[in-house]
Amino acid sequence: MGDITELLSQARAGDQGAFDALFAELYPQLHRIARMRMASSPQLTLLDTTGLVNECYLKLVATSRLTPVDRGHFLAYGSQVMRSIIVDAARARAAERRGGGVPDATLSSDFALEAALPEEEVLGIHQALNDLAILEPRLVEVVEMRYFGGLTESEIAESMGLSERTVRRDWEKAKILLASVLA
Amino acid sequence: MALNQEITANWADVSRMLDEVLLLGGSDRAEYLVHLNARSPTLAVILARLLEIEKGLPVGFLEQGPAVDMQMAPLAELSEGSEVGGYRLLRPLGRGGMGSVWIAERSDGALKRKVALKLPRLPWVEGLTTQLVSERDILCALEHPNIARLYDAGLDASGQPFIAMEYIEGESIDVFCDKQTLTIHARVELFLQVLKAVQFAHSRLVIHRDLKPANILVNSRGEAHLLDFGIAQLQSQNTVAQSSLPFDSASQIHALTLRYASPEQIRKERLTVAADIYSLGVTLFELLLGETPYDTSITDKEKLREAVLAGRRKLPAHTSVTAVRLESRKITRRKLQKLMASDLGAIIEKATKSDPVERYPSVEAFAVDLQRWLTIKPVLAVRSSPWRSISKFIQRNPWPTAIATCSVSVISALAIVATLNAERARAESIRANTTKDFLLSIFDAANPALHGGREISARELLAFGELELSESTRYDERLKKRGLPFVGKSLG
Repeated sequence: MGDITELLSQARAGDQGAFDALFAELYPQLHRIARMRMASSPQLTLLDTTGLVNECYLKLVATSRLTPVDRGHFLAYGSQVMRSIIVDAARARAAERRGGGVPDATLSSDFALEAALPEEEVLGIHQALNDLAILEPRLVEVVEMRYFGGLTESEIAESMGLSERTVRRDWEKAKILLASVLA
Repeated sequence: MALNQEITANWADVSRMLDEVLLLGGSDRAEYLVHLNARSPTLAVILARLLEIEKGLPVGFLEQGPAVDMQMAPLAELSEGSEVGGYRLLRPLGRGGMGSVWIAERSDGALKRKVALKLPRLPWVEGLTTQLVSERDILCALEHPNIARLYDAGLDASGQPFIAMEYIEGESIDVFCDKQTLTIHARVELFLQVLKAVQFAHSRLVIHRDLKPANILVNSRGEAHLLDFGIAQLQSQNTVAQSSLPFDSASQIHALTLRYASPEQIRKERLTVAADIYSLGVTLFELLLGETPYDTSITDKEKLREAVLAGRRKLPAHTSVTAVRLESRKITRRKLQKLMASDLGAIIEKATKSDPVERYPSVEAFAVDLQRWLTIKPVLAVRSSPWRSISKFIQRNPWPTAIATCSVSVISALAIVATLNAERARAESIRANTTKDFLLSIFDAANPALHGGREISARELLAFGELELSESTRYDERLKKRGLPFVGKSLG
């Protein structure tokens, strides 16, 4: 049994220490994958999350740190960690802007950094999800897995033990609520 | 930003109704709202608003990834012992908003040498990897005792860009000069090492683009080393060795770097060797006078940019130097002022002209002039009248100095390798040398010491030039063809 599998089952049993350890394990892994995505992305600022958490899952299984039966649970946890990574990045970006303005590319670069990075949107969604978590945690999970984790509806359905139709309806609902907050 | 109070207060109902109404088509939804309004006007208003939002959802809303630059995410996992691009991190030299620098060594143990490993944090662009590789190869070949070697650069398996450079233990040249209380002469001599290194790089079609004291380290043996050749800036002032990363906010670093940037660089024009010559001129100004030519009180980037573009620089002769700085240069105020009001000041002024054409045509010419100053020969920079006519000749006949043009560059990654056809550039640089030899031979001829102290007239000078040009085999046909009519016409 892989070490991640063990942490997963302990975390599911409510062991906060195991959850923290799992978080610390997954954060850098997912972070690297996200950066790789960024590196190959045609767009400078948009992170393609498609299959991101799944890719991490496959890597861990390939290195025997995770047994394939844990897929559903892993995808949910992984998406939660991914949300943290993306929010951290957005905060860092926002802080840098407040602190010293956009890094100036004048001297050393012919491509501009000037394009605005709407990290505020990401932070707004994060905040709204915190509110929503009190009302309906299931919607939050769907958004985490879909938006931050880049999972498909069928992967989410499998992970959460719901029908795909329910997942799709939850996603539509969540989008409307998030839009009402961002508007 | 938070969820609307009315929604949260009525969540159970709102959630259930949304489930129901989202299954319905347009006309059924309207009917649903009418019925709801009859039962609960409050809920109907909430639901109507949410359906309105649903209709207005932009296509693909939240279907695309979050718009966040992942390079900005804190790199929690980088620590001593981490591996990046085949290197093991030993200890941090510096960290800042733009990335971090570490002392590192090869993790396969093949080579025990320590390297300075730069891990820039930057937004990535498509095609960068290919560009990085081709430019890396050119920069890696840049081998000179006064240039910190670039060993490797690229993206590691996780997408982290890295640049491995020779690790130099030393202090930035300005700090070194002051600590060692070097005289003006000794400073100029040390600076000539820097010019030699830049000249070498220019001959290899590489321009630096970010020359400043923080990028010039001097070791305990007094040897100068240039950092980041062809690598755009990561460095900032005041910090020692390769640890000189921005610890302050981004705007401050750039305000510092701006002080050494040429006007054409600020205008984002295509750069030539003239940009390096300008930055070197500002660096020399600072080494000799203790500050850059721009008002030290300007800290605002925009204002500084304006000052550079408008050429609002202090003249070397008009720069007041503090007592402490005079002491660390072992010189009196009067003597320094005298130096600045004559040849040495003129050399600095010539290197820092706003118009690139008016600067020294090459780093070599700059070095030759300083060399001449050291050996008390007349310098080109103050030979105003013959110089002016000859510089006009140069302007009319394209002066082949703008050899290195730079391709797309990358913030703090690899950059700037000249893209000009190498062969053509080489031919031009040979011609540049012979043209320069020709000019120098004329100035030597003008040296009163060679004519029993008699001042030689401009006419004699031109006659000498004509003779030299037509008789000597050192000059190529093109130069003769262009130069001879000019000289002949001037002789009348």
